[in-house]
Amino acid sequence: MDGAILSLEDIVKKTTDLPTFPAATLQVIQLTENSDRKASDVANALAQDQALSARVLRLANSAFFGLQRQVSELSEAVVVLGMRNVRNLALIASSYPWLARPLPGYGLGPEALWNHSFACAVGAQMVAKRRSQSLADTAFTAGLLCDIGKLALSAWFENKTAALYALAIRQGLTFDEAESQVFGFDHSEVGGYLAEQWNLPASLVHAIRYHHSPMWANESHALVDMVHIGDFLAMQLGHGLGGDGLRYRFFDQVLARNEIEIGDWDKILEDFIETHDQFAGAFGELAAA
Amino acid sequence: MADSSTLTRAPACGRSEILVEKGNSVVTIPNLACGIGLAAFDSVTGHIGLGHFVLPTAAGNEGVGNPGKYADMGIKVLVQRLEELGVERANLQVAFCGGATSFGSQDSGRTGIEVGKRNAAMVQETLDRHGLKLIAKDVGGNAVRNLVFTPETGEVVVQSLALGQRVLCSLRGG
Repeated sequence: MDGAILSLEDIVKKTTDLPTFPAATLQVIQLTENSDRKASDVANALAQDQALSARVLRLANSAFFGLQRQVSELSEAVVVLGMRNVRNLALIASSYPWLARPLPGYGLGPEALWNHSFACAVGAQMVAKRRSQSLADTAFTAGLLCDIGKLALSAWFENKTAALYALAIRQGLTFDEAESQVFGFDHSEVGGYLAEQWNLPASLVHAIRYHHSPMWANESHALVDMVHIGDFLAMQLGHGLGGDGLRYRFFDQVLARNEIEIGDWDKILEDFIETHDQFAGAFGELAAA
Repeated sequence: MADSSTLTRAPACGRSEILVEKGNSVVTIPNLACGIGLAAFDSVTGHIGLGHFVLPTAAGNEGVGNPGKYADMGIKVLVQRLEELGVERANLQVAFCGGATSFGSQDSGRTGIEVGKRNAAMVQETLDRHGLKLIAKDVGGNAVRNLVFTPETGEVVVQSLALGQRVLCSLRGG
């Protein structure tokens, strides 16, 4: 764990086997950021990648959406489900293979990071729906990607999560603060940097970078807040947790600034259990197929 | 350090589940974060009761949904099911663990989101109310835990990726 002598850029450059997004998915993410794009633009972008298109159609026809009849064309799926839903399906299909990898550095077995990321996405989306549907759809995307920095940092831990946890306890730090102390940056910053390298929209980069420190986010903090809350929900229920456990700070000020009463928290957690189980049941096997 | 997939592969009691059985197989309650994993054992009949409760109280939700979600309702149902199988409440020995919290939320002064802390308190209160004998507990902190129960020895082991594993107690004691 001598990462302190390496810069964030060095870490990303020297980490082999870092994930990449299919070009078609990146294009869909960028297209759906613009409200003037047509459904056919999104369908055409996806159609460049046949394997991805097939997986998106399979997910679109899952029980979760309860469509009256099967959709067989991408253009039809975009019209019926909406551009942002199709974007999220493309994201699920593209990210599953690398989010499902084991990350021994964080003590995460196969599918653990996927389980956590998916739960975080569902939680962020559910809470964001109270504000707007468009924020909810983007919150899903941001939630799913918020821990991508762990994919790069894991290899540098060399199975020393317990040592880092012990350091955190000794010095009264959160796990991300301990990461910063050892490496000079934490997994959120690495994730933000990776997202920038992929040319993801600035709002997503921002949400990934500040999801553990929402009070430091700039004035456009709504998306950051949703991911912070979604992450907290996923942590509270133990979805895909590793050696870092729940050792992160929850800023309950984000509840107040999003007009969520602390007294409503148990109801939110209960709704999250139901929503998550419904999503996970419908998508779990399909995402892996 | 084992990762989260190799920690244990024994039959498991999932979130919001209540499991009642008899046998010698090792059983687990994995992925305990703010939720509480509870093991109750009657060494006379060999019956085991397990629960993974994620919310403190069913108040306001009685008769709706799954009782295993709530500490107060879940323990009541768990004991009822064991008694239906011939278990005497006085013979039950209980251990529980979990109730973790996120860092910093303990000192915010806003107790509403401290679900782990409230879950642990509700389990303790409900055990007392039902006259159940608590042998040991391991609650709080920030680590995710697994509870592993071995009926043959009565041993309750708490595993944590961050803190390792330790024998919490035996439920075959006098």
